[in-house]
Amino acid sequence: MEILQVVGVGIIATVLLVIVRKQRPELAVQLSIAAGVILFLFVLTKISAVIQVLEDLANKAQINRYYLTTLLKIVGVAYIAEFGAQICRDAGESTIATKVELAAKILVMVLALPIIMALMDSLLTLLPGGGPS
Amino acid sequence: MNMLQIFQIAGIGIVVAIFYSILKEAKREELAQLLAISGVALVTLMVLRLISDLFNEVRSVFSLY
Repeated sequence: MEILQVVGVGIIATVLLVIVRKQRPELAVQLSIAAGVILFLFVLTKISAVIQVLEDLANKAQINRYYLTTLLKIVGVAYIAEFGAQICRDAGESTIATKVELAAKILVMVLALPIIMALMDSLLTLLPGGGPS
Repeated sequence: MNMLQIFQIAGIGIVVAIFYSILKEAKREELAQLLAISGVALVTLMVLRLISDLFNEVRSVFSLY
């Protein structure tokens, strides 16, 4: 029952945060970062098992490994960016949070471009009379 | 799950807050300010180590390089 652990950590961190935030708001931000990192690290061990299963499935379906790693990279970028943006927003700096999210979107687009190009290429070969011969 | 760091940071925060108010009552404003800054620096070091752990873990799990 890992969910009990997660909820326990969350509640304890929240109680400590409420105590600290009144006197020292700058330390409260750090405390919330630490709690977030610890919870995230805990969940990450579970995610790695899911990714293992996904890789096995991709091997069975004989999908090009490149697509799966690109997909995983996109998920990782999104996770990290969401984490950073939430911290910025928690501290009341929603401008910087918006910039972080924008950067994440652009980086994800750059990562996804080769897949889009591959899709376009296969579509062009399907079209009658078109495509790279 | 490692709760130690959360308790450490919260403890540092509470101790800094208490000593800050004591020093302020004793008319030692500059020492109180110094205490607050050093507390923030100490906690930042701990949090930095945590964040670097997190980034390394995410990089290895999602094969980001």
